[in-house]
Amino acid sequence: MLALSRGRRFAIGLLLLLSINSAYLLLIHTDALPQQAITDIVWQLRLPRLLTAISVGAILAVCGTAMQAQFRNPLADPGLVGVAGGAGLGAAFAIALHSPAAVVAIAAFAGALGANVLAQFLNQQQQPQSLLLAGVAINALSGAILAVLFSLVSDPVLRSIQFWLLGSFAYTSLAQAIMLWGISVAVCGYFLHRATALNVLLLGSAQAYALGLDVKREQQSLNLVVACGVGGAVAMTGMVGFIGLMVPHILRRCGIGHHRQLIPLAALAGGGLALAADTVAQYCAPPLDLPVGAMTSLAGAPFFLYLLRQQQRPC
Amino acid sequence: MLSCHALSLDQRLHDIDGEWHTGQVTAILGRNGAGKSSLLHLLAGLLTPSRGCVTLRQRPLNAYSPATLAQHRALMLQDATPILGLTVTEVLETATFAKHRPPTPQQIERVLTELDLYPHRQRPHQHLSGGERAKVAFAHAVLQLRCSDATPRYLLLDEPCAALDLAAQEQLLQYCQQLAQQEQIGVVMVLHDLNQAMRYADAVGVLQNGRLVAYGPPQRCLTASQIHAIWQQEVVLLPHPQPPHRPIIVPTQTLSA
Repeated sequence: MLALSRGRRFAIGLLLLLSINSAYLLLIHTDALPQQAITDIVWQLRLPRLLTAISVGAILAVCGTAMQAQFRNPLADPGLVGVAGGAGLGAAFAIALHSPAAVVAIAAFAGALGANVLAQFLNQQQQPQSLLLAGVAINALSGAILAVLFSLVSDPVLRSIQFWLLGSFAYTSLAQAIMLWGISVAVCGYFLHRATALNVLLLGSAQAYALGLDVKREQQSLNLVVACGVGGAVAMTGMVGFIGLMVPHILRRCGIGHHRQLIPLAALAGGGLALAADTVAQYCAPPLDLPVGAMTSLAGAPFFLYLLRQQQRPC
Repeated sequence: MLSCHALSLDQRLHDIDGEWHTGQVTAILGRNGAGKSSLLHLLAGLLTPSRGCVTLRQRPLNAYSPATLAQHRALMLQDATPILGLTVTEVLETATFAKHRPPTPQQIERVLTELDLYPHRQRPHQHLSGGERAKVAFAHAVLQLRCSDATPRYLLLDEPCAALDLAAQEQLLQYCQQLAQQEQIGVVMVLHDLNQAMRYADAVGVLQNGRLVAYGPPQRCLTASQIHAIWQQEVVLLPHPQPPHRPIIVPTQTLSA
């Protein structure tokens, strides 16, 4: 009961913060504008950006939570198994070939899925440790190929790739934002449905099997959903790091451990964190619009280190 | 009944034949590397034999789905590692995963109380000591079987006393005897302490270099000459002053000394 009431308090607090931040982002600097301009700005620019930020944050945080359960390690995140690296590589190739934005997104998604398939293929032992090693190898390979690509392309293309890799919520349409919203609902719904199985995975593969879980199938499904979710998010917004690692870790440090509470709260907190980071990215150095991926890491890393220092204190 | 026929596992186990009955405690004994844990993992269905098979009710284990198997046997592994983020109660709630519904609060409270874990029910599993985690792992396995209506039911324990203090070891072994006698559960445990096996087991199976070299009542299998032959250790057997008057095994000197 204690955990439940704590979870509810967290949910209410996060919803309030999210609502205030959303209202601020939608309506800031609109008081002197005509009604039609306000409508255009809100519907064509601000609402898509806001929905994108919340849904991408939710996807990354929920996928990070699932990865940490699979690896039984609070330092795991979706990037660990090569999904984000594969997506980045796919997008970089598409940008280097001067492809339109839609093709870049498709290439990123294909890269994420390809990395997932390769990691599963390399993980013959069906052990989380083997999957982790496969992910490390895929990330190293992606990084090396990207480095070679950087030296081959022209300066403007290199700048485009680097900007994309740093992540931004500014360039999604309302249709893309709604698609991302759909992906986030599907990913959160799937992992909420598998909340008890995620708890069982925390006990380790052998114990999970002894409890009746088809571990191999569960892990394959989990990794596929993560690849689709993160692939979709990265495809449309570029690389946004740290949310998948930090959000579940913070929630667990605050006593939220059961995945039935952890999944929805991670979605709310991830969405809130991404939105807050995007707010800072937009308004901390106007008229510059800074990369949101850099903001999440700049804000998240010190806070994460602070939490690690407070390890022994109750939340 | 749980049984195995000509069971072999690579170079670790060779031609093991055995039957494990419900309502009794069986201890698997042997030196380090003799294949005790491998045999237990084969009986649990965690490993696939290279030859022979393990059967439950005359059907090979691989004919059962993981969920059905989980109704018939529960496993306590050697390493009770900390579980990320869950409280003791939340860990115990996973015990009935195969039944798609958590155990009732009364069932959880009963096992926690019986094993002196009730004060720890809301503590994060990560904050428990090694011994407390071992007791939670044991409670988890007991709850898994207790919430199952299937027959037969087996509790498979891999060195359950390794992290426990003396009083907790005695409590756990007595609890196993009660489970066997009162709830008709078959308890199969890997042990290193021959005195515990002598005192609490109804039957012992002794492994040497992957072969089952003795199987039967502990008084018959754990004689001074048999212990000397397998463990290379001189012992004397002294009479125990209390019922059931099974002898106490006392090491004297090692051959190499």
